Amino acid sequence: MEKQRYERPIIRRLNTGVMNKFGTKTEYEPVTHIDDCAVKDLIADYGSPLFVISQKTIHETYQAANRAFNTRYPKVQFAWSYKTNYINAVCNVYHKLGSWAEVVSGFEYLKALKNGVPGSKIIFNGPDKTVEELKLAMENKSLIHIDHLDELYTLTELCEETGIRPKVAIRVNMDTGIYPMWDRFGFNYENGQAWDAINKIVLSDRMDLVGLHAHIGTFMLTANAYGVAAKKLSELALSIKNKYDKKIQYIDMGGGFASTNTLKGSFLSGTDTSPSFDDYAEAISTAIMNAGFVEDELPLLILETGRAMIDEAGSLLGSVISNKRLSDGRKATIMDFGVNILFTSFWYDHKISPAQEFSHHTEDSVMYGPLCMNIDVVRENVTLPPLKRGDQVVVHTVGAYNMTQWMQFIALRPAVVMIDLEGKPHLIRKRETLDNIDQQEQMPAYLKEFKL
Amino acid sequence: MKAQGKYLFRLFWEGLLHSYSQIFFSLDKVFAVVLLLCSFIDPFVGISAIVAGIIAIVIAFFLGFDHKNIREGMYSFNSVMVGMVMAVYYDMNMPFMLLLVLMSVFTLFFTLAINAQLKVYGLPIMSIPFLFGVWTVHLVGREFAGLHLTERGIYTINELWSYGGERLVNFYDMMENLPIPDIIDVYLRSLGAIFFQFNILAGLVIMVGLIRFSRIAFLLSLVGFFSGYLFFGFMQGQFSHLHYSYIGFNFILSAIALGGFFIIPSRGSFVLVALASPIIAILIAAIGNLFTVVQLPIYSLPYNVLVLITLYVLKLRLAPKGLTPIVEQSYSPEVNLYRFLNQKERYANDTYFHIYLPFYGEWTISQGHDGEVTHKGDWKEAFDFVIQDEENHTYKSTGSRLEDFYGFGRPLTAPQMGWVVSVENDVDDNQIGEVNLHQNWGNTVVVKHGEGIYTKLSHLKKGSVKVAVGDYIKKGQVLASLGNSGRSPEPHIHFQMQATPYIGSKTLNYPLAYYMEKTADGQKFHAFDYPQEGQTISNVQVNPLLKKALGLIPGMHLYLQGDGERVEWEVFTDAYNYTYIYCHQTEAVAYFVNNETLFYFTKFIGNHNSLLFQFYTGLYKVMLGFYQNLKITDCFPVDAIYSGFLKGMLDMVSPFYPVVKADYELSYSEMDGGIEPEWVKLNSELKVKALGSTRLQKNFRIEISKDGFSKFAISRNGKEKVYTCEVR
Repeated sequence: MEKQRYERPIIRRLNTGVMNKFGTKTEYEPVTHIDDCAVKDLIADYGSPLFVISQKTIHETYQAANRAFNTRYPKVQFAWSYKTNYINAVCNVYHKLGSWAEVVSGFEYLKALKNGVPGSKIIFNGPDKTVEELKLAMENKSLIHIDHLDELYTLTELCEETGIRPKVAIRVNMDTGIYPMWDRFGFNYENGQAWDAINKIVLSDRMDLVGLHAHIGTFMLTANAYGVAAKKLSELALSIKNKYDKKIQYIDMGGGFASTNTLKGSFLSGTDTSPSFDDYAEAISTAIMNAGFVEDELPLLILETGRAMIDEAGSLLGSVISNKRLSDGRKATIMDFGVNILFTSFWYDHKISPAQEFSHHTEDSVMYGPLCMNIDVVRENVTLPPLKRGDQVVVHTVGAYNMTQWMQFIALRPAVVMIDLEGKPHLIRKRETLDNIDQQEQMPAYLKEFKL
Repeated sequence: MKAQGKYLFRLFWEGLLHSYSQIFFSLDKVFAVVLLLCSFIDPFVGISAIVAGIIAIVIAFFLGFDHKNIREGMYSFNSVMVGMVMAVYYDMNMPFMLLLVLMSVFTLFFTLAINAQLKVYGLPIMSIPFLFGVWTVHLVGREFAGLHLTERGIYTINELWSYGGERLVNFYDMMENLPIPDIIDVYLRSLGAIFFQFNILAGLVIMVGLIRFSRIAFLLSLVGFFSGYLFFGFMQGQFSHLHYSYIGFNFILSAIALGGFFIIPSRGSFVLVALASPIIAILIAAIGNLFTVVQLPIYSLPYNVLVLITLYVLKLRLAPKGLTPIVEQSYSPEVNLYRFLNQKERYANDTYFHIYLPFYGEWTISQGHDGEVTHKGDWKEAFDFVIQDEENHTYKSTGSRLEDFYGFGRPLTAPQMGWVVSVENDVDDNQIGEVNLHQNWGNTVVVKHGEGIYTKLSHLKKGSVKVAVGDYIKKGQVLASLGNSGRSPEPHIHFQMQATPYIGSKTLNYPLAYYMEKTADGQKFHAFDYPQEGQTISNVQVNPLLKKALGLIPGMHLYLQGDGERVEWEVFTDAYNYTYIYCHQTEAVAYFVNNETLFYFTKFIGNHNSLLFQFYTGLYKVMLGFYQNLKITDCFPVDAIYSGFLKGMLDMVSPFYPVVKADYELSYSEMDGGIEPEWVKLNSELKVKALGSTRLQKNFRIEISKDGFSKFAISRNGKEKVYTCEVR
């Protein structure tokens, strides 16, 4: 028999009065394994903290999304949003599943090319595309989503210069009834900017306007807004067909689907409030199907959803560095991961589970990261069993944005492991070393030597 | 006017020729000429037959009968035979001529009348009108003294002397006394007897013509005749029966009719022939004895009786097995056979109405035909579809709410164009696990696609039906959303074909036109098949490039250039709406069908060395959707690969064993990516296998661009010829 685990005593205030209608028990379930891999073993093999990505969850989520759209609309294509998570192995999982690539910078563009995505299956978004990058995208027959008039002018000049006829789309922003309205990207629908751009593109006759793109916001908690956007884009596509007899090949609804994370300040948990793929799919496909397209001229529906696709597939494993009592009596737990690698903790209350069995006693505490910075708070208030130094925890739903927005600040960035469909872990990004950082640096000769 | 005259001339000329070849179930003009010339061995017989034939054709034409049947000699061949027999028996004089005209008309009318009756049972008229005509002549000849029994044929030598002197007599003598066994002698004379020429020479000529027309028919005639002959010998029958007017031709005609013309040639049909001949022999003896009472020859009566009975009996089978009667006659046992061999894949498609899947995306059959749960009895030929995830669940989370089910609320589309005939839209959706036995079908749409072809979609969402009774709908149009109404414990599509317009009609066993099945390593293409329980299937997504390239519209020109050769092809449509590619250089013709999902060639006529033949081989069948690494297979009929002597040899064996297998395989190798793909590459292969080894292998590369075909390459034995294509 295993030795009984020691748990330090805790003091809890007893409440009198009316019972809480939700009961007194705090639900937590220890998560000891991820896809049959023991958390303990993973940390032992790859160190702590450690990002773990479950390929199985990626597949399940992708298939759920695919099913939701494909059974409602005849032509659907997903494009993997590189900025959400551009670790090459992750990108390739999506490409293997059939996703194209959606990139927002030259760096991401090159990454996609290097991963083997054919140029014609890369969607080039974003406000900052340099002349060289645009040229490269034109040569590779990529879909260029024009964000502003200056880009359009540059592109027109490039067309004249190279004689290439690129395939372009314009990004359209619009009022979909949500606040804040994202109007800084693309051309506005209501005030006629979009038509201005369309007219310029069509009349210049130097590029093919093949698509319309909208990205109405992020972490959208209402599917209805997508219905409005899809309706407006469809109307625009039909008007272009009427006016110029040009068939719009695709409508790109962008991303912004919410994952099951809980936003800070939200009363209910994300699992209860976030719309499902089915909700988004229903709103979007109904709007396009009812817009009045001729049956065989229905545009291809492209979706660039990143967050909802991968968030749940990612977990962060970490270990307790220390416990502390704060001046006001609150308990504090210091972890070996902080906002440096868990950037999303700025806006989510991440669900955190212990990775080993405990008794049913819990206590409220503040969870801090390891940084020597006051803002390094992972959770302001979390109810967990009494953790002690060396105990391990699993932070859930961290697949999106963390592995791209993480900072090499104070500490080095951890390793990333992918667990394949058979439950076998693969290291997909090595833990950073000092050499990695030093590699980029250069020392002027006169600073090389000093004596203290 | 000129064209009209040309048409009429062809109609009459071909009709007359076919009146001769029809007797051997052939539309082969060369064979017809041989037979015609044969009938002129006795010039009076020849003239009399032609006159009778012309009269029958002219009258049928002026009475306004079907030109196709006139052209095929269907109405006139009985009259021709009556004409022949009359000339064999009587001298030519005015009463004879008058009787010939009248009998020809009578036989024609008899033909038309009996044809109308037998057609109802799907049976041929055979030579029944001839029998009645000729018996009438025999019986009436005893009454009219104006008719003189002829002495021709009795003093044959004298007649020959008068035509060709001593040399002809000697030749005749030599032919008649050829040192050949009796069985072959009788066989040849029996062949001649079909044209009332009871000599070896005529028999030999007809035999050569028969071999030229059809090797299978020749083989059948041998099997049939020898079987009957040997039976006669075994039973110690009177051989005078066989020698008297060589009545053994009954064996030959029955053999060809049963073995290869009305029934697909096969091992079974040869066995049938071998068994039929003894029965014919019995009938010959029995009917022969009976008819001596009225002093009438029996001619082809035994053959008529047996063939009609056999064909009728075969049609009465509940679950036909073995012998396959021919539905669409092609007037050649060879063509009948080769068509049949890959009929299921290719020609069957023409006869079915095309019904597609009524949904978007991939659905799984939860209950197919003859299902375990509810697809029983009158409703056994139905399909239930659900959406399944990777764990084979049809729902997410707990599956306790309708919204948890993947199928719930999904749009359902029209499986084909048609008219809405019944709609039910007000039945409440059940909660999960509950069923509404009272309103069994729940909300339902029934669409009429044609007479006797209806489809029904049931268990729809309350209030979701977007169409009303009387609406004309297009294929793929959204009709309603899936719900859970009626006898439906969880959301699923009930889809069935039926012959009547009612909700609750019994089902019709009907295949689905084209669909893709999801397999472990990709997709599988199905044509006119019945999806099975557990299969996950979807509609074919047609690729715009393939659709454009293979959408060969009449008037289109294709130019192929390469290897020092340049050809011009043009697309035409003929009077029967069949489309074909015509090569201006070689005059070769390749017929094709394009039904928007599948493009396939059906027939090639012309030189097998032409580039068009290579094109025909390389693009034998192309499915118009692009699925990476998908492979489509088919097989070529022997007559599409071989011609000439080799084919003739193969014809003899093909009914028994497919010595030669010519397999076609098309693979979808590569496609340009992106929103508007600019090229597609296909590879195809022809592999002819015989006796376990590959005899011939050709590989084809086909490249398609936005303008249609751009490149066509053929490689054989490692050498490749590349042609660039241009479409205008």
